[in-house]
Amino acid sequence: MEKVSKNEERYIFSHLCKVFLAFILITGLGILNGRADDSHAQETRLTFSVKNSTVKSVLNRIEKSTGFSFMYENNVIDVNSKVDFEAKNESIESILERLFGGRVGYRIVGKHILLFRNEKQTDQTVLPDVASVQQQQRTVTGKVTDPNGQPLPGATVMIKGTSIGTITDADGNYSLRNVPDDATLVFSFVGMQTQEINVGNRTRIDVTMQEEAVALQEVVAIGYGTRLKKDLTGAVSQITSEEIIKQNSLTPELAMQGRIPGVYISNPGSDPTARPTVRIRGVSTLGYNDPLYVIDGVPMSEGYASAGDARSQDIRGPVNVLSMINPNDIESISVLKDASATAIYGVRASNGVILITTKRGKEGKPQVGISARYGIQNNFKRYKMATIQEYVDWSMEAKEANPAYVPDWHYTLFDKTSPNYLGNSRDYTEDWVKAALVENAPVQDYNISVSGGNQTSTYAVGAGYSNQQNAFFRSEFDRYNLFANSDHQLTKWLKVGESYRFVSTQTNTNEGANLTTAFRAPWQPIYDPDGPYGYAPTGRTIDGVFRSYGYGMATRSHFLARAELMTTKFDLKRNLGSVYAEISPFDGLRIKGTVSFDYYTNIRENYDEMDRGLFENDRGTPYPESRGNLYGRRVLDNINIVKEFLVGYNNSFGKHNVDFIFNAMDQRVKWNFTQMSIDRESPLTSWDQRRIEEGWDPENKGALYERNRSGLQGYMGRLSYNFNSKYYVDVTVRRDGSSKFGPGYKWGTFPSVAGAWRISSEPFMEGLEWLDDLKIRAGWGKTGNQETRDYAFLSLVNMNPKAAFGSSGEPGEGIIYPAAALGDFPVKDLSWETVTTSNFGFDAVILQNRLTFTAEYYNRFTDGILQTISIPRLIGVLNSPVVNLAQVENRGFEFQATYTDNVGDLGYSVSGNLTTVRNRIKKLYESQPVTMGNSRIEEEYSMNYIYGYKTAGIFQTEQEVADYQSKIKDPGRDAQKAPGDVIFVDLYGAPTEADPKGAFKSYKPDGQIDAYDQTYLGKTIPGFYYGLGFDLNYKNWDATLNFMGVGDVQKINTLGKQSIGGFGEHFLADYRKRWTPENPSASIPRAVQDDPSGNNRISDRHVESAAFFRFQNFQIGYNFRGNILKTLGLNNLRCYIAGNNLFVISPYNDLDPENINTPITFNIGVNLSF
Amino acid sequence: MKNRKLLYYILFIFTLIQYSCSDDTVNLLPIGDTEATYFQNESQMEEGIRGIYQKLGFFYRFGGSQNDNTAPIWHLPSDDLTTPSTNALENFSGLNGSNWQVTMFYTYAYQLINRANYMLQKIEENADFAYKKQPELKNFHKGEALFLRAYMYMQLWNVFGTAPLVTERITKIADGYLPNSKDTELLDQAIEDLAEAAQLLPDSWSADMKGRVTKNSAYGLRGKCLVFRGSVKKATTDFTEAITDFNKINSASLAPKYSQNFDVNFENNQESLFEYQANSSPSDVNPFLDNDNFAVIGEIGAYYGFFTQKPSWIGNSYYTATASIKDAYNDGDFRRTYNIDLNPDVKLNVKKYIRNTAYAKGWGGQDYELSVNNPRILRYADVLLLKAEAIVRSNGSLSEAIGLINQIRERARNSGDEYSEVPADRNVNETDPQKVLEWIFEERRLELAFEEGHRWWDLRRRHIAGEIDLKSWDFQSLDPNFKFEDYNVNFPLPEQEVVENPNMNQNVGY
Repeated sequence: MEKVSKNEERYIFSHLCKVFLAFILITGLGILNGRADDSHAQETRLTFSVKNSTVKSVLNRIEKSTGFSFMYENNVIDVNSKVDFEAKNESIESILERLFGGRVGYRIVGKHILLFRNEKQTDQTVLPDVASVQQQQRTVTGKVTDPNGQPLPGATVMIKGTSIGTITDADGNYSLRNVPDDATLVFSFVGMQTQEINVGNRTRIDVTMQEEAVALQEVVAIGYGTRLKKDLTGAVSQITSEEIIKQNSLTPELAMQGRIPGVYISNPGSDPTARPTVRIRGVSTLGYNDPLYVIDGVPMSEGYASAGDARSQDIRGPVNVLSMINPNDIESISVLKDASATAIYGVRASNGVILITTKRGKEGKPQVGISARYGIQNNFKRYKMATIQEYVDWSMEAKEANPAYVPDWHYTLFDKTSPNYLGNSRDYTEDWVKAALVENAPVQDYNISVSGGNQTSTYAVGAGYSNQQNAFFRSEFDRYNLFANSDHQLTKWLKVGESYRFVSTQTNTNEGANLTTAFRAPWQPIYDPDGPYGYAPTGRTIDGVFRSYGYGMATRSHFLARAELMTTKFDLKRNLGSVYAEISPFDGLRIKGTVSFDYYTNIRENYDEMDRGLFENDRGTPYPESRGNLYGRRVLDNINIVKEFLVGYNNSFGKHNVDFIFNAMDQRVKWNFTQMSIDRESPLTSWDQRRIEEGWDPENKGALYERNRSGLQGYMGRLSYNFNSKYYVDVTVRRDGSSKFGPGYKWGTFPSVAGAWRISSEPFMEGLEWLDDLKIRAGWGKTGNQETRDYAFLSLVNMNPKAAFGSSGEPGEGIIYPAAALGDFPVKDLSWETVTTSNFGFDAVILQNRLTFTAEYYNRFTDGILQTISIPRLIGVLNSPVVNLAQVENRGFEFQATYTDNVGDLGYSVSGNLTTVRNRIKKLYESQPVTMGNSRIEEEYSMNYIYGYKTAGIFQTEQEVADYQSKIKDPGRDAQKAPGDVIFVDLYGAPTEADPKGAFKSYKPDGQIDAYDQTYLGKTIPGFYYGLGFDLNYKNWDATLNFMGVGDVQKINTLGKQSIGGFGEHFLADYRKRWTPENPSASIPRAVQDDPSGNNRISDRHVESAAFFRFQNFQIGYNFRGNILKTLGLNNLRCYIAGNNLFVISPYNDLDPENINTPITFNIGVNLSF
Repeated sequence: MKNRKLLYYILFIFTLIQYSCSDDTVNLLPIGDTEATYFQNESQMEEGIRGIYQKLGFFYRFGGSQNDNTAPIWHLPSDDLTTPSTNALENFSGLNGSNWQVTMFYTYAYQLINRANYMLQKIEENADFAYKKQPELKNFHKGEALFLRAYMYMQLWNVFGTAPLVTERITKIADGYLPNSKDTELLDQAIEDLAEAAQLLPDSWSADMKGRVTKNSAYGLRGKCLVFRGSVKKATTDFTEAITDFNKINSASLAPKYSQNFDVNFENNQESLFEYQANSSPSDVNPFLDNDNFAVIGEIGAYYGFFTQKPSWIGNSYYTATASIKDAYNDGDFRRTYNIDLNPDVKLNVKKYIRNTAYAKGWGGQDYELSVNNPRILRYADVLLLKAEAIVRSNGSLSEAIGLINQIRERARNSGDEYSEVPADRNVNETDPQKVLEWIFEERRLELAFEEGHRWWDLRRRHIAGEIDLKSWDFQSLDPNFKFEDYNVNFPLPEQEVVENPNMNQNVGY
């Protein structure tokens, strides 16, 4: 048996498109497209006309228009006879009836239309009957049925090891003569699993066929092509449209949360535009760890993304540029994890590659899909704060505890005897928290798409609108997006197409506020009917002196008032698209040229009124008239042009399948920054007036323009070979050149090789009934990472400095002259960071397709990590250099399992994934550890581990303090050591003569507490993370639930653990349990102003497990079926309710271990298509 | 027809390949100048030299918070100033290597040295072609780089004592793990460099360049370094050499009025040898931003808010004059009332630089006390007193030395609106050199109060020399934690710098 259409493929591309299309239909994942079933086939009506064509071409025509593929036995159905045929709005059934004149019957099985001869056929006429008769032989009959018990016509029944066999008739019956006793019958049918059954002494064998594992038929994007999942050799995971939509997210990254093994995505909180952290298989470098995003073949690039300095990040702005991709438009997200999969992206691939494929048109009548979703977000968690009385009392206690403390002016607010005493005020904390929260903050998303096409052209267009309000005061995100794409088979050998996507997002941001607003002065009022704008200003006159911090040092800047007086808007517009042309001079060969562009502008506008100063805690008065109302405009445009040229060849020679591609790529990225502002004496009076005029005094205006650029060139070849879908080899070589590195270090070569072996196809695996498919894979390869500050190999001239000499005539003012400085420490031999990945894994399908299981071991060794390092300050440079610093190893396991079954009408699927990460720094430059605050990088430790002091409880008595101080000095912190202070452990000291030369510390106590005593306290890279998903369906209902979590990770938490001072921030109620002589067994040190004993140094007291388990989201849907749909004229109608972030369980002692701003969201939505 | 289409298409593809495979993509260079293409002519060399001067401004920055400026390093340790806030630089007891001011001071000093070092390198390398139009600039530039670097050496010695000596641009990280300097190595190098600078620098600059260092600056600073070294090493030759240097200073004189040294209208006057040229920024000054990263709003003024408690949130981190400096002046000494508000209820009593000042323009100006009034780093009055000290210490003519003190006192008498009898001249017939030395230090305290750390550096070197004992000194600290130990004459080196450098040791005691 063969699948005709397959051999008739002219172009690999259209082949893949078709498989892809078929895949969507078979899995029914495209909700918008409805399910392919009998009724669909019956309802589909076709119109076409052919003259002097083969029957085969008529069938092809039907295939293309309906998405079905025909299955038939070549020597049963004559498809090569010529016909003239015309169909007018005719059903498939009728077409087939007329085409074959009733000699041929049909049945629809899954995505296939099975053709069979209508007349009974019980002889083995078509297959040579040459069986030997040495053994006792019998006739075996039986019936072959599909999983639903329906007869399966056209199934092949063969005697194993011979060419004797037959096929089943229209009722699924077969009869086979001369079957030897020891024979094994092989039952096969396309789309079904082949079954082998020993005959024994039976004469009747009925067989129920099982559908082949759907998962293995999935088409997976692998970069510059697609592949069936069963043919993968590398570590690639994919989620598809249906799963993505069920994640209820507005950005593509969040759609992956918890769904893909090896991929960790952080919770960005309620800020609709925040960038989540995405990490694939650990943290492989100290610098830029973000994966490469490739959207419809266009590698994304964001200016300044990998520049670590504050200025670049400020220019880059806070808005996540990926939020511009609407998850509704995505067909699939494919994650390439190991080098054999990512090597094709060479230089940019070492952090993994995320391929986003968006929806394209399909041949057929126009399909209209509409989706709408509306949700609300709320935060229900709160910090529990002390009372005002406690705020005062504890501050006094802290003051009394430190005799050296000289009260500042704000002492008067805490002093009961003072007329300024505020301790009797109302507690406004809750008002402020309420003001910081946005109740029922809406999130909404509406989309419409139309797709369709004919034989030569397919198209898809769509538009969408999304809006999200931050659940905290206050930002708002609006997104308008539209897309259009089309493909045109112009001639037999020429195909062209394009895709274009336009997105416009507007973000309104105000000075943020969140639940930590509770930590500010509790007695600061929020509203004042007599105050300016109805708000209470931050400043007050106290004892005749104006204080901008009118309620003490913890006076808040008034975010409500400031929001009214200040406007900041971000406006992003992104144009993303490509045009391609592909020629196929002969079968199997394609030559394709593509030009892609990604052009976006990110505009920030701000308008600030003078009066905002009234509500600033460090000002308290309006800005002066001369300062005017400010307006500023920043434009960051980012232009990314990619040109590619691809030659691909694929063919099959018997059982040898070969696929080869060669690709050349050229990418140039430019990003330009322009800033204009009116800084003084501006006549502007409102946001609507915003402008900067030519005529205004140049002195009052600012302008800045800056350009950056970088380039990348690459050549890549990939050869894929498989023998009979049993043995696979993939070899890839990529060579990349980058402008980021200096002469002689620009080019890097990144090879990879991978193999796979389908063991389950081997004879020795026969008879394992429970095993449906088993493939083992292994891969090795190198990839690169170039992401670091641009031109770090060069010493750039910093033109910022200004110096003044002479006199301008005004008092004190000189003449300002430009100056220049060299701030860099160029490292000329800087080059690629390379990641060598080894991957070993297997994919198994067992228990009659009910359980799929993948397990992988990976080892990613990063060499020459590009890292900005802190070098001795005495070198005197401004910008820390970038060097190929370190080696780091990440290794671990990844598991993914999905179990699918049903109990009666209840179908369910449970899937889980688990990734383990063991991160180790293997080598550092000069073995020199790097410490940044309490984060440390050191050989043989996990990267950025928590570095701090060890403690041994709290001093209880004066005697204990004296005993300690007689042995151990704590320079600078000894004077006031007292009961209630933390006991620090003397572990190590400065290197001594006895230590080896070049030692960084002496691993012996030295009687002194200092930086040398800090040690390993915990690790910040999770040891494992996991996701758990449940999919259920019952009749018209379906439900999805997702959970995710991380484990084996620690985090510093200072909440409720410090030696509190006073006269400043408000206190958590937890401090009721602090150390006092009356409460000696406490774990919180005593209250003491200014922390003279250094109790608050980060130590083991502060390190907590940050593991968590989160109910990430759920969705419960109802699919309307039958008459309602007909009445409404719809193909599909589904309504759902959904929720996100329903709960989190964690030992971490804060409102949320990931992000305290993560709201709980509930959504309702509807999807329909017609 | 079909073939033609195919031909077009193939042409298109090959055009694309041609376009794609240009090498330019990989060889892109940044837009803007690189070191390799810069320092090619006079104006670029000038900009490089100005870049060294610009770094001086970092020592006078505010930086946005009470802890974000280096002023406490030289103001607070002395017995002239104290602060009601707890500050380790004031009470010495909480001082350790994680002190941020210490780290900042160290960082800025070496950044300035690096700028001087690479400019010295560029002057050597590019001299042949970069000074074709104005050959004289080559020497001037070299002299300026040497001078500014030497000033940093001196300051590093004053603050840390043992900070490493960097005399060449470091281009390999491995070369950056230098050991501590020993003894007076830093001063030794400064003295050597200043001798060379004095040969190279011009006598004066044109009006539009006024404020750049001159021969006089170099002689003055060299003499100062010699006196400092001589006082701790007890080396008479240093003093005689210093006197020679001081004598080479020409055309400098005391300004007629004391106040003219702190008045914004009399910058770079006849008494001035070296000033930081504080200025408004080209656009609105933003005290939170520095001038290395932010061209037009980065601060290039001078912060005096620690005398005025500005901006308001610095809280208690203001500095107040101690009773002992108030009492040190004679009643009627103009300098007393000019420098100090004597009202005992006024905490913000230090008025030097505040009385006749002007603010940087823009929103960060007056509110933050960002002044355009130049801090006078080295002035002739300082030189005269150093010269007097050198004379006494080298057993020279006491009457000559006393005459120099009296020049200072005479000017003080003439500084008010009306002539004052106070302070009266010292007795020129005094024969006890020790007494004269005390007069000199007394005069230095009065004349140079609240300026540039003169008082603390003097106390420090005298303690090192064993002339005074600071352990029993009355520092007039408001802080009950106050405790001075011998090792406090050197401040701790930045902790991370020491811990990460196996060749560098922390200063003894920290």
